[in-house]
Amino acid sequence: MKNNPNMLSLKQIRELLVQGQISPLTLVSEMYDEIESKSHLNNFITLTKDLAFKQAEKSWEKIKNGTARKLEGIPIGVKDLYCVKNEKMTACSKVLENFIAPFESHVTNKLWNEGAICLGKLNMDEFAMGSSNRTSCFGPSINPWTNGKNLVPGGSSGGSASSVAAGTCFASLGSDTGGSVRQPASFCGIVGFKPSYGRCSRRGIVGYASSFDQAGIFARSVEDAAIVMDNMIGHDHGDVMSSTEAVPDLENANISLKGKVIGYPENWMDGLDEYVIKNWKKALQIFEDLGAIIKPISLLNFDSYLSTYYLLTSSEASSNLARYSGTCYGNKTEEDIGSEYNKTFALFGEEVRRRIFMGIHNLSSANYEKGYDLGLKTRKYIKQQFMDLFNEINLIVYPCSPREAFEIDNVFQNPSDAYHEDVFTVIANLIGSPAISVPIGYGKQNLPLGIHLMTKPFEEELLISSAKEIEKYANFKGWLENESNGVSK
Amino acid sequence: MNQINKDHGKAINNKWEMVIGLEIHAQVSTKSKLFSKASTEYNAPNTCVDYIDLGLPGALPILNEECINKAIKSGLALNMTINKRSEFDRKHYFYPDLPLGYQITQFYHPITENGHIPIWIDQDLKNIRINRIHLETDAGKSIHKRNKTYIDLNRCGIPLMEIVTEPDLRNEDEVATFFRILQSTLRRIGTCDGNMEKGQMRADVNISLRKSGEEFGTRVEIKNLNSVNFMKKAILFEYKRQSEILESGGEIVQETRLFNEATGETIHMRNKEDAADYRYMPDPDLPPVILNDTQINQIKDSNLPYEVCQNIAKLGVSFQDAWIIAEDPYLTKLFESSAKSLEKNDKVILFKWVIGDVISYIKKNPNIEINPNYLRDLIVEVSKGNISGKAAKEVLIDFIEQDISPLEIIKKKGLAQINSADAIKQIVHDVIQNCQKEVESYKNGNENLKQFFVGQVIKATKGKANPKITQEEVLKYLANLK
Repeated sequence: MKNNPNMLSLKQIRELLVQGQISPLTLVSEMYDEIESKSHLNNFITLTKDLAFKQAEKSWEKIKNGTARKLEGIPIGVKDLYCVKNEKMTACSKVLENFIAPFESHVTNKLWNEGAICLGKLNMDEFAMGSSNRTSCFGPSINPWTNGKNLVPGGSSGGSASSVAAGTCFASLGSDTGGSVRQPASFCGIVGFKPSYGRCSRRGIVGYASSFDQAGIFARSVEDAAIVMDNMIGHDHGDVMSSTEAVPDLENANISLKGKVIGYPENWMDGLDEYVIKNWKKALQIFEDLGAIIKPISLLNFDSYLSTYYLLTSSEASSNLARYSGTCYGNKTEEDIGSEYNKTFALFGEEVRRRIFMGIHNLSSANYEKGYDLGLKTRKYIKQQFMDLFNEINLIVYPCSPREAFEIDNVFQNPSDAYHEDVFTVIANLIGSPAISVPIGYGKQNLPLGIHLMTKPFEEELLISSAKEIEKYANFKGWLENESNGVSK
Repeated sequence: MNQINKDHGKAINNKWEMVIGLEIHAQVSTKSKLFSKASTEYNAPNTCVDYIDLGLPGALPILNEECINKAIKSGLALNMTINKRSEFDRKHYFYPDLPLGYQITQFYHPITENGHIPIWIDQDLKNIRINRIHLETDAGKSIHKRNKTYIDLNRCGIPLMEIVTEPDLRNEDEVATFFRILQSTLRRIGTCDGNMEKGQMRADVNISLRKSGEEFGTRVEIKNLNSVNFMKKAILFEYKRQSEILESGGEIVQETRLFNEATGETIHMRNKEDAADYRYMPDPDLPPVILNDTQINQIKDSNLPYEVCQNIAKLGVSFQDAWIIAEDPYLTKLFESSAKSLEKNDKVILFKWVIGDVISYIKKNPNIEINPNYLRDLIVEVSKGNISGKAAKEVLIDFIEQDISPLEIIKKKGLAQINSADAIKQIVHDVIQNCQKEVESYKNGNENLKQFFVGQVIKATKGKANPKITQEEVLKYLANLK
């Protein structure tokens, strides 16, 4: 095995750093070399080197005088929709091409305060709208896994997932509105964890759909994800929707699965890919072997969740994006295309424009009742249905995605086909539950597949405990591990 | 109706009745904005702006709780129902001085509903119903100069209460009276400073005409009136314009109009069909406002100007006069403290003194403090006839300026009125003895000299002789002469 520090787990590098066996400055420098050597993946769209070395220097001081903080010297990447003060923040949109954030997001602020180091900003779908990172104005991020062709890393947090999988950072921040952390984690063979709605403050994160948006974390192990997440969660007075629930200790979460009731939506198995089903059953078997009770449950057809999700998120998006009018800040096209506002609107990519149009339609007074308002009512119904279900079930388990990563050149016949990438993930955002995608095995093309675990809101401890068990027994090897053993690539 | 025709209705016959409702924007008096920490001060352009006011990516609104409390307070003062649950909604429209692309308001579930306050028309009381008060953000200001538009975002996010009345007002005087009562009520409870020149209060006027007793006509909205005078002018102009259209068999178009301050006319702004679709939606960045019982069941502020006015009017004075005291918090306090232990009749004397000499003194000496106990003592002396009106005016000024009890001043200056008939009889005797020439003239039939003798007696006593008794004694004395 090659002795590159970037191959180590976050937990391992934390130990080396605290023990002074590696200097944060050296580590940061090596990580930038690594990023450089994998620049073809198009993950980092802004490198924050000045900031990183300044933070590394401070970390070195702290380590030397024995006052290392919880994440001292650990280099991470940040999805480019978190404000990092005085750094560019584009949301991968031409509209914000030259926007410099004047303030720091709450989550990144917490991480820097614990000694984490910001390597740079990561590629994503424009304004987090997409499931393949192909709507970015910087071009697609590429999955390190390959079937001989370039594959998508998933989306919208594609760059974040790919960079962690490829070992160019130890963990990365993503955001999850309908699966934007979990689906790319599944495609890239890593862990993607979205906590309950309200666990992390949304302050300083570009809003897509306010009542769905939640910060998430990517890491190569459940434990690593938990270590970072422990330092992201907590109430923030600056986000009035953020939760005041007691904060758990996820790094040490260790709840026994024995006797827990695990539900799986049996009615969803029809028509699924055989590899996907095989890996689903594999996960259920792991839980059963641990003494959990496996119970079939019946959920609504995917489309009920998906339509509700798109109805509401497009509406909220059309409202949240109304501020990019090109008046106070933001770009305008030079083209002569009519009114002032259209000059900014024309800079939005096709997918963003499509969702804004859908949202405007759903909110218009003529359609409100059968649009947004119906969505609100349906969401309420769905929430209630799940809360009732959680009275009998501790954990719901199903595949994270109906398929493996697909080729970058693969064109969807219909825009709504792309929305079906999210069929399994949107529920957690509709009901505010914590959910995680953990690598479970491989698909037809020997590409990674993730298993999706979800609990009742604010039961992250059980969720992480279960995820740790899956990881332990899945025998999954990540891209980095395969690469170092000369298996993949 | 009569009022209008008398004053302005030369060319108008009196078959049209006005139906008027108001939407009043009152700035909540707070230090910071509704959803940001930026100051609400009247300041140099773009100096009071926070991230959310600029609509920066990632900026979130944080509700200023003080605005909720002040809205509740206002609701209680206007006899409204306070809703246990209210919500904030987004109202979308594009304008350069609205960086978020939406205003945050309470469209579906306002914080208070269904209230009323009384107004008076001469000596009659009438209730004006208030439909709702909701909280919302103000937009910034666009200043158009030499083909360029300048934007000042200081006002962007300023907390406003939108106070919406039912269409209960019937003419411009009722509107003016209602507005002034509302304004002083909000000022009294400290929820709105009400300075119209600073934009802290402004009104949209909805007005339609109908034949008395018939269905409401089509209404026209006049936007953004920033003085009571403009409101009155705009209403009268609309009355004339609409009645002329109706008289000539035309139809009123539902529209929004603007008032031209220079010409006193209203001009077309937009038709109903041109209004933007605001795409109202509950704001997903803000949870519903849930009030607890303690907040809802707060004690309503007592002694509101319209209550004070009604109480004073019970003394038998006009609402209009009573309002002079009621709308001024200092005069109200002074009047009420002084009146506490007084009989009804003495209260009336006190009332006359307050709206007379006391106000004129305060106008000349604005920051003066008047001791209510001293004022009461003086009124008692006046009422008992222990001091003449003229002397009392002197005592008033002395006790205010020297902070000495009026009784002491009366004693020191010897201003007590001589009320003893015997004493006055003696003075009358002495004075008339010294006016032999006039006595002769009187005896010869010059009856006009009666008042001369009375005057001489008053003069001799430096005004202290009770004029009534003096009169009697002089007449008695003169009668004995004949």
